[in-house]
Amino acid sequence: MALIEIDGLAVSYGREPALNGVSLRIDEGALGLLGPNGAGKSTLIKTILGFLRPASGSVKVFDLPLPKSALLVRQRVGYMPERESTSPKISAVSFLTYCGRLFGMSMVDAMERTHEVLNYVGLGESRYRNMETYSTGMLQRVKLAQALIHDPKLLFLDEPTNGLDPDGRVEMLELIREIASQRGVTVILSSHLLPDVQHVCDRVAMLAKGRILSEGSIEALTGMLERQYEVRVRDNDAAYAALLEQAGCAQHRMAPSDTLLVRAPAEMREDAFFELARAAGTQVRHFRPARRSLETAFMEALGKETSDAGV
Amino acid sequence: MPVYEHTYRNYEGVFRHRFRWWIVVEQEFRVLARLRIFKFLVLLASIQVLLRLVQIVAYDTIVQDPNHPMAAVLSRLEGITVKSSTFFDFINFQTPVMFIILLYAGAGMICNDFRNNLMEIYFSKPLRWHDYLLGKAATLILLGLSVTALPALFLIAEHVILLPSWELVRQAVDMASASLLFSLVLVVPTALAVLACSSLLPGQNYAAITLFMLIIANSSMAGLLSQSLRARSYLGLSYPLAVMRLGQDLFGIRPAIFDMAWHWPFSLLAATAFICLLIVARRVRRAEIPA
Amino acid sequence: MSAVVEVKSLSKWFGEVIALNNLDLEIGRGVTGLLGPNGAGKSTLIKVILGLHAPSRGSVRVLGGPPRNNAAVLRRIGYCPETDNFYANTSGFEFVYWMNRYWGMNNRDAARAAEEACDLVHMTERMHDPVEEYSKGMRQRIKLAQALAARPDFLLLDEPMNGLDPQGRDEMYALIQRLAEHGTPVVVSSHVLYEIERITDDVVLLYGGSLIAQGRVRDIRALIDSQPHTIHVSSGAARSLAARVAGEGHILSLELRDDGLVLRTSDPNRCYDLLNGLALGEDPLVRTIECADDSLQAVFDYLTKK
Repeated sequence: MALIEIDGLAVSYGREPALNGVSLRIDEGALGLLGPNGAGKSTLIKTILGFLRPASGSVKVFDLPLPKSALLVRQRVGYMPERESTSPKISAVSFLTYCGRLFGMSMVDAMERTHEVLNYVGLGESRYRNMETYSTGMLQRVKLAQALIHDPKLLFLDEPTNGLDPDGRVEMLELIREIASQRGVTVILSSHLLPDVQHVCDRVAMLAKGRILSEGSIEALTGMLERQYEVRVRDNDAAYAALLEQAGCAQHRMAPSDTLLVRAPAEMREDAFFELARAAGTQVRHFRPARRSLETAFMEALGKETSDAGV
Repeated sequence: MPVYEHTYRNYEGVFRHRFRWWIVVEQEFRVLARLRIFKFLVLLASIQVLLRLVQIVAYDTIVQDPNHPMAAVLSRLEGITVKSSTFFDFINFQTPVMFIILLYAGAGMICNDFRNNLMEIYFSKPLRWHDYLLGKAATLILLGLSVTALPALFLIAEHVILLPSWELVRQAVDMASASLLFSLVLVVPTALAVLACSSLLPGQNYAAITLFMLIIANSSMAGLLSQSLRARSYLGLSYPLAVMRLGQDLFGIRPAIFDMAWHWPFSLLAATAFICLLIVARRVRRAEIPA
Repeated sequence: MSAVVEVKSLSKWFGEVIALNNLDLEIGRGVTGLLGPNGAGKSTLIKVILGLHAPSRGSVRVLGGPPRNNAAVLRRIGYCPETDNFYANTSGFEFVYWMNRYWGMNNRDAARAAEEACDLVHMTERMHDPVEEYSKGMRQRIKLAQALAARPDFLLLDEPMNGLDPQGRDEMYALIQRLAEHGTPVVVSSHVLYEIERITDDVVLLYGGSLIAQGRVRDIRALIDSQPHTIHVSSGAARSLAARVAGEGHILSLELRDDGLVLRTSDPNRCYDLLNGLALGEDPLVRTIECADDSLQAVFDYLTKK
């Protein structure tokens, strides 16, 4: 039994159709939900939470049909929305206890869970201060905490690293990875930051214009490119590039770094790269087979080209 | 001995949903109780309660006792007599502070939730829009009643206790029900109007000012109409006066300013309450169900 | 060529809190990334460059002159802020139009420039819709349009990619690079480090109100002596490779993985020479080489975690 089963789902947001015949099975694991703005990602999430009524098709979460069982589904799902939310005049503890109680916990249970979950997301003593004094990072943690407080088995995260500084981003992504891998929670991450998605998820589903464009494991989508390599040398770049061209390679600089993306002719051996470096009087500092980035896979699915597609 | 692990436990507890709207009420009260200005307002509301307390004691014990040295002095004080209209006056005079309390507590109730992007967080929990709405409305109504009906009933009880007689007990029952009804007529439409403004306007202060202006405008219009059309009855269009008129009717007091059958002001208030309820319901429902 | 932004001994404090502490900085042509954790003084520096704050001490010159209350300098700067602040009840086009008017253009020029700017950011279809209806990405584009409309000589972008979908991001990268090639210096401030890496090699790193690094990422990395270089090597025979390499004096540690090794070395030059040698031949011990820590994220971590 899949966690989420979507079959031929069509949803209209106002007058316009936002989802146009979407069929998707979501099993356990971490799924990235990708798509351009307006593709229907938030519509999909809202339908799964029971906010929107399907015009046709069906959605089942934990084998519960929507929107009839919306309340039952919301009981077991955690949602971390994109927009910055705060409850300025109260503390995080007070806010989370309220959320816990809205889930139906007793006051005592809610209190205990609040502190446990705040510990988990890393909010320390500041939890007793009013939320108007919190930084963006702290507010994001509180938002994550309110999505976890009732121990859901399914978690929706919409741009969870929004507004966080580099350290905060790393911490948040690590937390999410931990939740997905160690706690066995199915995580659905919606984000425009594809490297983040690559770091956290094992599968992706791409939406565009209300339909599923492509779906599959990240491993499969970012497979190695035939006979293409990334190579960077210490110095004498020009001489090296010339030698590569002589050997029959097509190359392309991955601006702004000095790494070259090289397509080698069929008969060229991999160690030729190192020989040519020696011949150019330099040393190879970076060499590996090139892989399609998730971004390239995404753009190709959309039918567009990126600035660093393969040569 | 378990070693510390960075994780949170599985939730083994129970999820029970009895009255979801009551949770909203509890939280609103909890938040209000921490605000200093609110405590000050409650204090302000208690002033009249204390004064009436003293008045009742003075009338029931001192004035009734002809041998008491103060009796003569006090009996000459205007308004010292405690009768049915005293409680009407009490509730009537509580109106300004009740209005301010409701405005203070309620102006931001819904618009702040919108502004702080809390709607998505609340409705992603098993909370329906009517739970939310009922909770907010109930908070304001309970607040309003607690500075009007509740102290009124308490004062009535005090009066009966100090001056016991079967006659008075029968009167007290009438006065109590009149107080309760008058308070409801006063509080419920006001609470719904505050919520309506809160749900329509983008900020707490805008909502408060708008409601204030609406009431002033409404009273002015009623006054203008009654002056230009030379008919006192048009004053009944004014919301505060309509409430007062109904109260006078409930307490059996002869109307001083204008005479009008009770169903006109009642219809006005009922219509106001209904329209405000529709407005809030629509706004809140759209937050849960955006389509 | 004179620098676009010259900062000398700049300090800025607010009461007791010192936001910028004796900063000396020069930003030149091309695209420069401005990074730092929250509270490092980035936003204060941006505000000082824009003339919104006067320096408490020291000086700042932008495009040759001090920016504060200096219309001649300010009208040459295009700024795209991080926060969304729009007039209520305006459309995107109107917003850019009015910004142009404030800048000093007359009615017709302002309208034309606004249209061109909206076109540049691909907002032509929706530019007459009210800003309230825009998604985050659209607001971002309008902000950028406003910054570009007056054809500035210097662009300052604060989190320009916020809210944009991957295609929008790609367009933004391309736009920034086009502008830089055109000769307009661009300073981009962002928390998403791999995005900065995509558009530029030159970074300015602030921490605790001071400048802790400036220059090309790799050059900065090379200067961080205290941290040995970490190199990932993949190999068909990891243990043989390990045995071969362990004897070298500059190798500080080895970690065996299924498909190779993770080396830490104090002398990268010699280490790479060694590895290059081992990559030659019919069945080389070394298949791929990757440096694990000359990414911007790694450099940032090393410099900000004491």
